[in-house]
Amino acid sequence: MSALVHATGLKKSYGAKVVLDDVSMTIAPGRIVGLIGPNGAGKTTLLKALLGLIGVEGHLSVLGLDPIRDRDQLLRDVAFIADVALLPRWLRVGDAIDFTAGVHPRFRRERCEEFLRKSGIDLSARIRTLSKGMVTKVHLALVMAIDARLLVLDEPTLGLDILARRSFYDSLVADYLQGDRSILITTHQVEEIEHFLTDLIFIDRGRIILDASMESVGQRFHELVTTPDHSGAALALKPVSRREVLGRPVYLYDGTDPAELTKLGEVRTPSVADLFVAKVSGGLS
Amino acid sequence: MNTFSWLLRRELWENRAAWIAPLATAAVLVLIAAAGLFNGVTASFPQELTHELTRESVDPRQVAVVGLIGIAAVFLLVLQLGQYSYLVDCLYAERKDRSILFWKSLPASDTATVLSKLVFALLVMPAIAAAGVLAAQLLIYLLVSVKFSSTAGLIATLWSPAVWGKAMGYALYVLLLVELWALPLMAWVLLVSAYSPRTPGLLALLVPLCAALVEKLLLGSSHVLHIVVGRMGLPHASTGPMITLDKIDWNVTTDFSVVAMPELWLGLLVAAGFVWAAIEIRRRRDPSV
Repeated sequence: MSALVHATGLKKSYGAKVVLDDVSMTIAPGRIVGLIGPNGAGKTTLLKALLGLIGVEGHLSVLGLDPIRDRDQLLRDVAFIADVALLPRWLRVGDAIDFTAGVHPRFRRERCEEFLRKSGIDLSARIRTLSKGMVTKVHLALVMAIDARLLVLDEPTLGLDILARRSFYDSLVADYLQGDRSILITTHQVEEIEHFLTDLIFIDRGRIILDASMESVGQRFHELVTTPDHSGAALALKPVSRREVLGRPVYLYDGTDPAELTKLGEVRTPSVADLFVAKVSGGLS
Repeated sequence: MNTFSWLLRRELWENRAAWIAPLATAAVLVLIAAAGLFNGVTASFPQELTHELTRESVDPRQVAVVGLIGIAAVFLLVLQLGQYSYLVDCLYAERKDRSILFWKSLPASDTATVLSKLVFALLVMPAIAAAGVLAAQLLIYLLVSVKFSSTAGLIATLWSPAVWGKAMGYALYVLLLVELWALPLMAWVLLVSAYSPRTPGLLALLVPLCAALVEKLLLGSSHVLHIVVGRMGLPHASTGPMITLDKIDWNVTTDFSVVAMPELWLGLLVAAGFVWAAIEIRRRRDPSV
């Protein structure tokens, strides 16, 4: 099957500020891609471009369509949350369901209603009477009930407590395993999603600095926990970053043979968060 | 088409004033009529009106029509104020509360969305107003019938289907003309609502006012003002009387000379341009800024 998202040389600037700088990426069907970057890195701009909300330079096709020109057609197969809790205050929950069911051919009403029932949200309530967390849940329930080929989530769990976040991600994964959808997700709480991601994209200052499958991340990157007396040898193997955890130096390596590292101490796979910090802070220079 | 009907329903949910305002207008008119007829709140009103209505020479048809026009005129005023405030807000509110990002995540195109707002103002709101006129008229005629139950001629005219039919036909025809004639103004307000970074209500009024002022200062003429103000009434205002009470023309509904007015078509063309611009703005602008 061909790629769901195919982007080459995307550029976008607002005045003198370059937000996307020659971004290229591909998303294959059936993947869960984490798009990770610091604030202002261009994540949201990139997502908005994929969704046809803003125009960008370069070549971009989503599900084989031009997101701007074919936007109406695209939205039948792409569901997204560009920012949570944006439902209008005057809307009733039940009306929101009716409306979405009315305009979306792939909306599954029962799923949405079941999700809301579990959250204890009254269908006759108006959005303005709900707490921010509940509005987020309504928004998620509406979007998650759409049988989309591509689901784009920008900080979907912002403002939710840890229980709600966990249950959201659990149902996201359960859905994913059942169907044939791809998911593109951004969040600052990387540790909550890293165990189910299949691919990882790091973006910083408008540029993609890492685009790899989780498998290859595990093969490529290693973390060495060692003692200060091994520092010289550890540095000689050219780590990309160094930090200290409880007085012990921790080095991160890209592409170094783990057999070499094992001689110096304990070797493990870095967490996405550590990898991210290492890549974004520019490493050792 | 199904999507479009949902979009219209959505407007009805959001804009409850669209039916509350006509309902309140009907209630107020009926209350005033009841107070006037039965309580003598307006001291001079009952006697004079009683005298008028019970005079042998009065043409009951005239009374019926005058009553209708009086009621309809109040509704028309309420309708036009409602249309203005609706249109000013309709594409601005969703940007202000950022809910546009939710609406744009559903497969309802920008074209359908913007057109649904125009159709709501142009057809749905007047239809509700027309229903309000009918309801108010029924109730008021009922009150009049009770009050003047002895004046058989008046009663017969008030409830004559022929008079009703013609009067309603006349009112609807006038309403249609007013709507078509004012369409460029409505489309303009829609465009401002789509474009304005803030206070669209102010911008919608300021631009034509400034244009009129500049014209006055530079050229000494006031065409802009005349065109804008002229569009708030009826197209016939310049070419001949249409709504003067003493010359109500029953055959006006078969008078299609308006259709031949180039100004009408020019206005519709301008309106189409404004609507197209509003659609393009909603389509192209980054919805999150």
